[in-house]
Amino acid sequence: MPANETAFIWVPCLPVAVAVLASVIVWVAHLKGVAPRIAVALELLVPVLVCGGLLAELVLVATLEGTVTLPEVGVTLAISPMARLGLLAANAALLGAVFFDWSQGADTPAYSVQPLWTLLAALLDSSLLAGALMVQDRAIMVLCVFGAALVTSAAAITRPGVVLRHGYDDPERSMLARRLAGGIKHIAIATPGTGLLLAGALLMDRYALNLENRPLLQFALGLMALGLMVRAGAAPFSAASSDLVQAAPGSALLVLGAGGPAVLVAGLLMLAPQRDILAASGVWAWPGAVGVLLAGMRALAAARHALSVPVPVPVASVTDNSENNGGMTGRLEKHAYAAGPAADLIAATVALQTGWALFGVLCGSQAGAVGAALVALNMAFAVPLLVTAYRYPAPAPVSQARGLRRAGLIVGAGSLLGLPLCGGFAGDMMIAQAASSAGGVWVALLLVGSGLTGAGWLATLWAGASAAHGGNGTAPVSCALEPQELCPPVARPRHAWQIIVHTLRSPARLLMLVLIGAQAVLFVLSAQIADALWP
Amino acid sequence: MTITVGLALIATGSAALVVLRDGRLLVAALAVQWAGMAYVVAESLAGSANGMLPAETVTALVCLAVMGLTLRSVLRTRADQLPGLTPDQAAALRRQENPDRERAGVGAGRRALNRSTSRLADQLWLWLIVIAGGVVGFGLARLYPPGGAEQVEVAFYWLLLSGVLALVVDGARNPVKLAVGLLALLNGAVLLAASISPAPPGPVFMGLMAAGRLGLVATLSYSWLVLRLFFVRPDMDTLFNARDGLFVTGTELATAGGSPEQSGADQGGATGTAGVRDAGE
Repeated sequence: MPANETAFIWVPCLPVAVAVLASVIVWVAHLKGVAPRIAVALELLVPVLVCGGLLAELVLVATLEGTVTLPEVGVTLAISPMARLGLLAANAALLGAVFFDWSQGADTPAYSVQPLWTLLAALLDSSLLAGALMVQDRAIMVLCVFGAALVTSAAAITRPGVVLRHGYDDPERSMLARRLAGGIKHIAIATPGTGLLLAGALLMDRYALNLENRPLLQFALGLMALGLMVRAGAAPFSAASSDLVQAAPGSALLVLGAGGPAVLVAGLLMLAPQRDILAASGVWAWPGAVGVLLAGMRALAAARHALSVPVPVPVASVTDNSENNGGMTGRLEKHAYAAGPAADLIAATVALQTGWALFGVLCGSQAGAVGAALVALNMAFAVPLLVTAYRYPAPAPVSQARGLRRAGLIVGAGSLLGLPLCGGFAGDMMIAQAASSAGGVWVALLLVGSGLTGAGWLATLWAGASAAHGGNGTAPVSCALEPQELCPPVARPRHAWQIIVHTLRSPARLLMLVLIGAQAVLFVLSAQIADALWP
Repeated sequence: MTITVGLALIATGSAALVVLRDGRLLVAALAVQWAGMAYVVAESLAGSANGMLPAETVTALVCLAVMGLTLRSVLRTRADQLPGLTPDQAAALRRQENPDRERAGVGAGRRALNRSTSRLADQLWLWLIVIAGGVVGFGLARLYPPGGAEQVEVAFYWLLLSGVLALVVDGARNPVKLAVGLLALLNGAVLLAASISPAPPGPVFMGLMAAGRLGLVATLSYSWLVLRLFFVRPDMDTLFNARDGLFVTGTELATAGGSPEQSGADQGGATGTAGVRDAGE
């Protein structure tokens, strides 16, 4: 086998090999005869190995070029600049997920996914997404992306490591339910989306044999547009996001940070031959515009929820005494810890950016395609920043969580809203340019959606600020809107050295700092990246 | 168009998928539908899908076995084997899960009558949906033929519509129906690929399709177990109620430690099950 061919095959296979190795290491660390020190060292080695595997895959992709055909299995692999960008985006978000779960350590909540599952899911996701972005067959591309969705859902559905007692651990059981619901919803949405994409891809292949059958092509394009909307998680198909952001942040990063951008880039690759037809028809961009508008309305609803209930208090009220509660005669009691307007707002903001990117993919113009690719890349950095800032719990009484969390929330949201000086600005501008070429209505729809989401964020931040001023001034912005049992108030740091020590002790804080810095880098490098994609 | 054995099996399985609610019967209905699909593939696509039939057979057998065994395990898990329950809670649940006791309860006769009336209306409605779905599938195959033999076109639409209807009618409540509905959709995609692809599906496509369906079945079957272990009842209503902070507490659980409101107030807003904790302690 030629060396180049071997290297191409190693790109999707490398993460799987690392996953097998990591599993063996964990197995050895849990053997009875292994000394505790060695076991701890081995367990620490696993995340390092996972990060190394993801980075090595990126290096491999950066060094490879061209196309390789594997006649034995009838598959052609190719590495294009777009595929490289998609894989960079996916692996950046996967690294974020690994860092996040790693940083939780002993503070991992009882209902959480075990960190090992997130690490293994990250590796398998990376492998499948690499396959999706490199393979030239549309149907196989769709199935690889579906595999990644399955892996992520499976990780979100895993049972918690501890027993949750009925009547005692109900807040944790509620969060576990949220996590399971998120995983099941993700599968339930991904499967029909895959069906739509597969049908579209197969019909498009059939059209190649019958070029005068234009209605068939239009039908196939419609199926693919709808399938992309469903699979990328644009509103209203972002139902799982809010649950995952709140209860399974690692899985949320896999879905929203890696999966979503990879689907968008795969969509760009799948529709590249039909870009002229998309541009000429000019109607298939509606899923993106509708998604943006719906995301804006969802964000406003989440903000309204936050404003109406600024500080949730536990309640116990009988709401249903009928027999229609799963066939179980009894009472239903409601608790305030189920509320999570900030998670809804974050999910709506990610869905908004997905809608923008989807518009860029489907509008058919070159500017829209490059803008969509830039937005996908930015999502891979902004989503981990936003989720980490929202979700990372304060590990010690004295920390700088308030300042850094607030900065992370503001920068992450600003980036996903496409504000200047953030990574999403250039991509959104290019998509807006494409939209204005297609017609003023499209621009208006996109801007209204963004405006509504921005208003939602302003209202939420205002509610958090007023709650902090009205209370003891110690609650971070996101905590002012969240259940108090699950988000305890933290004290402000007093000295600079305390800030530095606590930042260095936690990989999540470092991750936030790096991701905030990455926003500036993305903003500066946007023009060069666009040039590389569209020389 | 002649109604072949394959089409008849698909029609029967599809109708059962929409109408039935019992998990074991749903798996059986899926098996019938899958057998019909294999029959149609063998009959109509013998030349173009040579390697497809063995792969599909193995996939079907493994998927059905995983679903069947998991269901058996879920149904056989007794309440007192569930983790996180105090002995009093387990005993209360065991009593509640005992159908004899339920039948002997006050007002059970009236409830049974109401239930049978509502079930009849419910079943009639479902059968109407099934008939409408069958006619629509037949019409769609005539109006928008995706390509391939006529028999395969009708089979594709029936598979697709049965999956969609199962999901729409009961997919958000019944986890088994959710799984079989999603599987039916993917089976429809396989049939479409086999019938309209310019070339027969390659080994990578078939392998990924099989792995995807196995992964889907394994993940969703596992979720039934987790639902049973952590939320007592393996249904989606219970899951979504718990997600919204609504916990179902059995009558016995809620009243064992006195009035629920009283025990709730004592526990600072905890559920009625806290009353059991008081009584137990």
